[in-house]
Amino acid sequence: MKDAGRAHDTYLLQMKGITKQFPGVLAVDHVDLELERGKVLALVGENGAGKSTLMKILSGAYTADEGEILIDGTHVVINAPIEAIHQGITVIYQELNTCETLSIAENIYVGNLPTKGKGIFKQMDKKEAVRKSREILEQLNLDYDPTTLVSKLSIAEKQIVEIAKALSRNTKVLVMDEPTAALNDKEVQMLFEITRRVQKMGTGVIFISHRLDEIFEICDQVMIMRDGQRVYFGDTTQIDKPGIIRHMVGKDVTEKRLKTDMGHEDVVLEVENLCTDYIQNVSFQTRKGEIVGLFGLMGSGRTEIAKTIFGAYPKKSGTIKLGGKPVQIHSPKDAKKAGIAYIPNDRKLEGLMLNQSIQQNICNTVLPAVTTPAGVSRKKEEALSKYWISQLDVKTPDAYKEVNSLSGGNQQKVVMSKWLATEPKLMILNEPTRGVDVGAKSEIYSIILDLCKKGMSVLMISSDLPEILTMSDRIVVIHEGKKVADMTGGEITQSNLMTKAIGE
Amino acid sequence: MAMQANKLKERINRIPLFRDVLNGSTLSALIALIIISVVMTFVSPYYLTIGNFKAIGLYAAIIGVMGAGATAVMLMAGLDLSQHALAALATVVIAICIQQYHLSFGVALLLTLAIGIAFGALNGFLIAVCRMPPMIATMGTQYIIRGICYILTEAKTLLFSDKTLTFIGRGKLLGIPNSILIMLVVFLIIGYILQKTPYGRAVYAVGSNEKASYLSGISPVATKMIAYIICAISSVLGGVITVSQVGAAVPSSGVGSEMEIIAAVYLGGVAATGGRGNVLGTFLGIMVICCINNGLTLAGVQSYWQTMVRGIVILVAIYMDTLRNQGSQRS
Repeated sequence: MKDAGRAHDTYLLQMKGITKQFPGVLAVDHVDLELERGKVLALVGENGAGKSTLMKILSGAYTADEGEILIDGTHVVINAPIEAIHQGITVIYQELNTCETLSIAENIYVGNLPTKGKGIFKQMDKKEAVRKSREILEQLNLDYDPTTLVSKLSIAEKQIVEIAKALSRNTKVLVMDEPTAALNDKEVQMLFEITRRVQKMGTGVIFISHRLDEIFEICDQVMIMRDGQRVYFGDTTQIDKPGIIRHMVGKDVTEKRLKTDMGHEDVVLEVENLCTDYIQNVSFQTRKGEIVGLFGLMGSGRTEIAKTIFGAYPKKSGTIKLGGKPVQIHSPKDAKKAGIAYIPNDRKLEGLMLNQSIQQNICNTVLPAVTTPAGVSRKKEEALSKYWISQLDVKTPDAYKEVNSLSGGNQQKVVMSKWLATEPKLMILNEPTRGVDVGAKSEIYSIILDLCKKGMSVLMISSDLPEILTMSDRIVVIHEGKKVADMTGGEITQSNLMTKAIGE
Repeated sequence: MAMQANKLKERINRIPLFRDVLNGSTLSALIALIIISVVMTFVSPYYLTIGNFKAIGLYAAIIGVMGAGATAVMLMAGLDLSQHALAALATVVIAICIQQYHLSFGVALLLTLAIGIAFGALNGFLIAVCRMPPMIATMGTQYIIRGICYILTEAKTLLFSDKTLTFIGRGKLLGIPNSILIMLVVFLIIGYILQKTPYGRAVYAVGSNEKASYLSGISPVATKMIAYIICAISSVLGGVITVSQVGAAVPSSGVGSEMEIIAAVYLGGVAATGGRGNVLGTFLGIMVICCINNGLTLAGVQSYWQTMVRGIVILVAIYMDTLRNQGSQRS
C-alpha cells in the first residue's frame, strides 16, 4: 500500500548491481538477478563463477560491497542470515542443516516453535507443532508422520523436511544448492514434484545445478554466470544445452600453453580400476616430466582419487603401480616412503602447522634426515629450510617466522617445500593456486614447470580452467566418480572439458 | 648497537625455547613468580630462607615430575586427569610389594612402572584410537585407578619402611634433597624428548594441526599413545617421590588436586589448543602454584581460603591462555 509502484512490479526478487570483492578476486561483478513469483530460475556456472557468493549475499552470509536487493519492489537490507529469514529468503544448502535427533515437526519449527501460555508459564506446544507440520506436509501432498525422527529419513526426505521448514516460515524465495547431487532418479522426480507444488503457492525458486537435463525439466528461466559476471539470462525455451555450455566456458582459450615439452615415455604412476566408496573403476597413467590434469566439478570425486592414491582414504579394489611395480599404500606415511607427495587444496586445514615456524613446517616430513645421534640437529634443519626457502623464493625475513604471518602464495610455497624435501617421484597438486595472488600464481607455475623439466611426474587437480588448460599435457575428466574422458593435444578445449565434466 | 641488538634477536629466535620465553607465553609465569616472591618476602621473613625453599621444593618435586609428563599430552590439546590416582596407585603397589611380599624396592618399582605404562596405554588407546574426549576418558580411568587403590588397601593408609626409599626421600646430594634432583632430571629428559627428538617434533606438529600431520606422514595415533605413556610414567615417578617422602601409602592422596597440575601447565604457557609451550614454562608454572600455596600457609591464611585462592589462580591461568590464543589468531 505504501509503495505505489508495487502493483506494477512483477518481480518477487530483484538483485541489482551486486558486487563483492575478496582479496585478489572480484568474486561477483555488478550482477543483476530477477526472479518472478511462482517461477523456477536455474543458476548455472562452473566452479568459482560466483554463484555461491551471490547466493551467500542473498542469504546474509556475506554482505555485498555494492548493489541493492529488492523484495516485492521494496528495498531490503540483509546483513545477517536471520535478516534474510525474516525477509522470506531460505537457502537449502547441499550439507543439510537438519537436527538428526529431533522429529520432523521439531525440525520444521526449530527456533520457531509454537508456544502456549504466557510469561514464565510459556511453554512449547508440541501438539500444535505436530498439527501445523501435518498441514504443511499435506500441502506438499506428503504422507509423513510429523513425529518421526529425522535420522530415519533418506537424504531426499530430509531435503523435503527442509523445504517444509522453509514453507513454515512463509518463504517467498527458496534457494536450493545442488539439491539433486545425492539423489537417485526416483528421488529427483519426487523432489521436482514438491518443487512444482511450492511453485504453485507463488514461491520463487532458485535452483543451482550442474545437471543440464534437470534444468530443462524444471526451470522456467536460466541465468548463467562466468568469472563473477552474468553472461546470460533468459527463458529455458530460448536456449539449448550446447548454448548453456558455450556461455559457461566463454570463448575457447587463446592463451598460450605454458607447458610446451611433452612428457617422457617412462610411466611413473599407473592407476588401474581404482574403486572406493566414491569412485568407480578409475584408470590412468602419469609419465616422467608430464603434467596430468584431473578435472571435474566439485564433488565429482577428484580429491577422493588423489587422496586414495596418497593413502589417506581406503581403497576397495584396484591396483596402484609406481615405476611399474605394484605398491601397497595404506597411509600417507606409506605414500611418502613410496615417493608420492600430496599438496592439499586447503593448506590451512590440511597442509600447514600454522603456529609453527617455517623451518619446522618444512622439516616435519623429513625428520629422520635432520636427526643425528644427539637428537634433531638445528644446523641440519636450518640448512634444509634455508635451501628450500631460497629455491622456491619464499618471501620471509627468516626461517623462524610462524607460517601464520605469511601470505597465501608464500604459505603454498612452504607446503611445496616440505614435500619437495622428501624428493618425491610423483607430486599430486590439489588446486595449487587457490587463494594466491596473480604474482605468486605465475611463480608457482614456473616452479611446477621446472620440476617437470627435472623429471617430476605431476598429477594436478584444478577447477581453474585456464590453469588446467595451459599447464596439462593430458587431462583426465571425472564425472560422478567415473572417468569420462582422457584427452590430449587438440582435444583439450574448454567446451570439451565442460561438456564431459557435466556428464553430457 | 642496533646491529648488535638485531644479531642478538636473531640468535634468540633460533632457539625455540628462548623465543617462547621472550614472546610472552613463558614470560608471564616468570613475572608472576617474581611478584609472588617479592610480596611474600615482605609478608613473612621466613619465606626467603633456604629451609623454606626446600619445603617448597619437596612438594614441587612431586607435582613437577607429573607436570613435566603432562606437558607432553597437553601440547597435543590433551589432558590427563588420572595422574594423581595413578600416583596413589604407585604408592599402594610399592607398599604392598615391600610390606606383604618382601620384594626389593627395585622389583616393586619395575612392577609399578609396568602398571603405569599399561594405564598410560589405556588412556592413549581411549583417546587416540577410540577418539574419546581426553577429559572424559581420563576421568573414567581416574575412577578405575582410584577404585583399585581403595580395593587393594581397604581404604587404609599403609605404613612401612624401606632403606632405599628412605634414602630417596630423605637423602641429599650436595645439600640438595634427592626428590628435587629427581624432578630436575625428569624435566631435562622430557625437555630433551620434546625439543630435540623427532618424536618431540611430531608432538608439536600434531598439537598444531593433527590433520596436516597425518597428511605429512606422521602418525597422530602413535604420537598420542606415546605421550600418554610418558605422562603415566611421570605419574608413577610422582607416586614414588610421594611414598619416599611420607613413608606411607595413602590411597586417597591427591584427591581434589587433579586440576593443580593442569593449571600449572597452562600458567606456564602451553596453549589449550595445542602446539605451543614447553617444559621450562611448565617448571615455572609449577613453581608459581607451589609458591602461592606456601606463601598462603606462611601468611597464616586458613586452608579453606587457600582452596578458594587456588580456584582464582586456575581461572587466571586459563584466561591468560585464552588471551594469548586470541592474540595469535589476530596476527
